[in-house]
Amino acid sequence: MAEAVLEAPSTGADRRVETAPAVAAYPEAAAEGEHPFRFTGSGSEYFRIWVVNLLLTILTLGIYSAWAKVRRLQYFHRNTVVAGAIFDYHGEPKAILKGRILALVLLLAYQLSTGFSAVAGAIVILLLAAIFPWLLTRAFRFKLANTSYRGLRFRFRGTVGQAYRMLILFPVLFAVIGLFVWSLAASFSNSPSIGLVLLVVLLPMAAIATAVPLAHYCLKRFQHEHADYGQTPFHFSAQARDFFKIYGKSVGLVIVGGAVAGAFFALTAGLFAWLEASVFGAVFAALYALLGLYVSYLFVRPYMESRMQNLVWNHTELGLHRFESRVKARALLGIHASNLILIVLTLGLYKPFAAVRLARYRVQSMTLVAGADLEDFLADQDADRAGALGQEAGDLFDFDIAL
Amino acid sequence: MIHATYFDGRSSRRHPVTVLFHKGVVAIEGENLRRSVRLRQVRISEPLARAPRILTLPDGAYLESRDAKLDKYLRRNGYRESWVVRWQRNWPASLAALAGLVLLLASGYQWGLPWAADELAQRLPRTIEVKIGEGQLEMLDAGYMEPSRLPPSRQQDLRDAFASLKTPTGQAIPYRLEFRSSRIGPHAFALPNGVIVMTDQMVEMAPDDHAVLAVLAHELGHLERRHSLRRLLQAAGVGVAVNVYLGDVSSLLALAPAVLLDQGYSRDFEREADRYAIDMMRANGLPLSPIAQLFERLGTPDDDDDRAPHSRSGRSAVIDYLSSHPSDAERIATLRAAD
Repeated sequence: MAEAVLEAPSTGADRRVETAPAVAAYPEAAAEGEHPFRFTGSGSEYFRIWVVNLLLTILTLGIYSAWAKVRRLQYFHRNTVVAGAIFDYHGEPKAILKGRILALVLLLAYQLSTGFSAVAGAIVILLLAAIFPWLLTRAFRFKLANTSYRGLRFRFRGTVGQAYRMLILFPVLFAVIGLFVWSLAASFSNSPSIGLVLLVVLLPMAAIATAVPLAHYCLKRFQHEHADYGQTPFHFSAQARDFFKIYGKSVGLVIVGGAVAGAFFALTAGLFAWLEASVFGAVFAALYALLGLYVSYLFVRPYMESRMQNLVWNHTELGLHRFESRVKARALLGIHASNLILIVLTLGLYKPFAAVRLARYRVQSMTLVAGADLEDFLADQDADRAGALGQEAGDLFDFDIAL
Repeated sequence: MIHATYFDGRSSRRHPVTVLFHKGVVAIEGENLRRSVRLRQVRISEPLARAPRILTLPDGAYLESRDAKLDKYLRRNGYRESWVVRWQRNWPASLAALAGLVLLLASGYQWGLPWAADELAQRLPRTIEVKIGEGQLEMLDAGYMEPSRLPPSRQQDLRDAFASLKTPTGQAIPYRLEFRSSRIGPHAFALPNGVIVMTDQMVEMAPDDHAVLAVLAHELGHLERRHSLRRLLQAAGVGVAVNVYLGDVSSLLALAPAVLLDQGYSRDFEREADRYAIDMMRANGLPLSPIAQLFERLGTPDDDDDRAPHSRSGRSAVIDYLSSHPSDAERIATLRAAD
C-alpha cells in the first residue's frame, strides 16, 4: 500500500512508520486503483429541502434564493463520495446574492433599453457580449474556489485576459465572413450564378457549424486546463476534432429524428385533419409542432450530454490520476423522459426527485482512476486567495457548465 | 466519544480521530494529534440522512463524522439546529410548507399579481401605452385589416351615437373609434393607446345599433380599466414565476401553464368589461337584449385577440377553462339577467 510519508504537524524529526495505522483505519482507502463515484442523496430528503427553499424564496421575494442555492449545492456535494471522502461547497450566500442583484440589474437594463429603442437594446447586448468573458471567468473562479474535497479547495487559474484572447476569435470570424458574404451578395445581385448563391448560403452555415463545436471545445479546455486541486493542476487532453464528431453525429440524429417525426405526421394526417377541424384546431396544430420539436430534442439532448460528459472526463487528468466516465445515452434518455412525464403529472412536485435521479446516474457513471495514493495532495500555499475569491460577487448568471 | 475523520486543510490526508464533547468543549485526539476547541467556535453542517456532518474549526481544519451519536452529544452541549434545518428534517412541517406554498401561489395569482399590475399600471407613463397601441394598430393594419367599406355617414352616425352616451361613472374616457374591414370577421379591439377598432363585419352582424353600442361600451370598459397594459404586466409576472419554477426543466414545457394562467386573467377582464357594458347601457336606458342576441349569432363575441370565430355554442366547462373568454352561455345569461 502507500509508502507516503505523513507530514506530521508537530513531530518532524521522529518519522516512525506513522502512516501504517492511518491507512489501516480505512480499508476502502484511497490507494492507487479505481474508485467509483457514489451518490448518496435521496429524493425524499431533497424534496423537503427543496420545498422549504421554494417557500422561503417566495416569502422573501427572491432574497433567500442565494441561501437556497447554497443549501442545494451543499446537499449534492456532500452526497457525492469518492475514495471514502465527500465533496463540499462553501459559497457565501451574500456573495451569491450580490451577483444575482447585479444580474437582475443587467437584465432589467436590457429589457428597458429594448423597450426604449432598438439601438439602445443592441448597445446593451453588445455590452453584455463584451463582458461575457469576464463574467465567465468569474463564474469559474467562484465555483471552483468554493468547492473542496478532503479539505482542499479547487482553484481556477484562468484569467480574464485569457478568456478574451480565446473568445475574440469568434466575433472576428463572424465579422469577416459576414462582410465577405455581404460584399459578394451586393456586387452580384443582378444575375447571380448558382454557385454564387450556394456560396452565399453555405458559407455562413459552415461558419456556424465550425464555430459552435470549436467554441465549446475552447470553453471546456479553458475550464479544465486552468483548474487546480490544491497545488495539483488538471490537464485536459481532448481534441477539437472530438467535439466536431459529437456535434456532427448530433446533427445527423436531428435529421433522423426529423424524418421519424415526418413519418409520424404523415401516418396521423387523417387524425390531425379531424382534430384541426374541431374547436381547438389551432391548439392542436401548435401542440403537434411542439411535440415534433420536442421529440427530436429529447433524443438529441441525452446523446449530446452523455457523449460530452464522457469525452470531457475521459480526457481530464489530475496529476497522476485520471477519470473515467461511462454515461450511456439510452439510460440518460430513459431518465430524462420519465422525469419529464412525472414532472408533468405531478405539476412539478417530482422535480427534486428528478434532480436526484439524474445526479445519481451522472455521478455514479464516473470513476476516479488513482495513479498514486490520494492522501498526498497538498493545499495551495496562498490559501487566502480562495477565501478572498469566495467573498466576491458570485456567479452572475448561474452559469452551470458543470460536467 | 465519537469516531471521526480529521482533515488539517493542508493536505488531503485523512486522520482517524476520536472526539470528546464536554461542557461545550470539543476535544480531538488521534495519532500525533491533540487539540481542543470551544463548540461555539465550531461551524457545524446540517445533518443529512446519508452524508457525514462536518465540524469546521476556526483555522479551516475540519472533522467529518457519520457517527450516529454525534447529534446527541451536540444537543447535550447546547448546540441547536437552525429553524430552517429543523423544518427541513420534519415531514409534517415540510408538507405544511408545501400547503403554504400552494396557498401562497394561488392567492398571488388570484389577488397579488393583479393588484401589483394595477398599481404598476397606474404609475407607468402614458407614453408606454401609446407606443404599444400604435405598434399593435400598425401590425393589425399591415396583416389583417383593410380600410372600412362602411359609408362615411354611417361611421359618423355610430361615432356620434356612442359619443352621446354617458359612462357609468360619468367620467369621460379619451378614445378614438376606427372602423376597418377585415377577413377575420366580426371583431372589436381596444388598444392600449385608446383606439377602439371595430370591423365592418361586426356592424353588419349586429341586429341593431344598440348591440353595436354595447360592444363599444365593452371595449370602453377595457380602456377604462387599462386591461391591455395590466394583462401585459400580469402575463410577464406569470411568465417569470412559471419560468422560475419549471424553466430549468424545460422552457418549452413552462409555456403551457403560462398560457393557461394568462387565459384565466383574460376571462376575468372580459367579465369586468361585460359588467361595464351592462352598467353603461343601463345608465343610458338602453336595452341589453340586442347584444345578447349578437352573442348568440356570433358564437364567439367581440374580442381582443381571438382569431377565427368558430361556432362555440354548447362548450363544456372544461373547454371554457382553456379559452380566453367566458362561455357565451354564461355571458348571455348574465346579459339576460341584467336586462
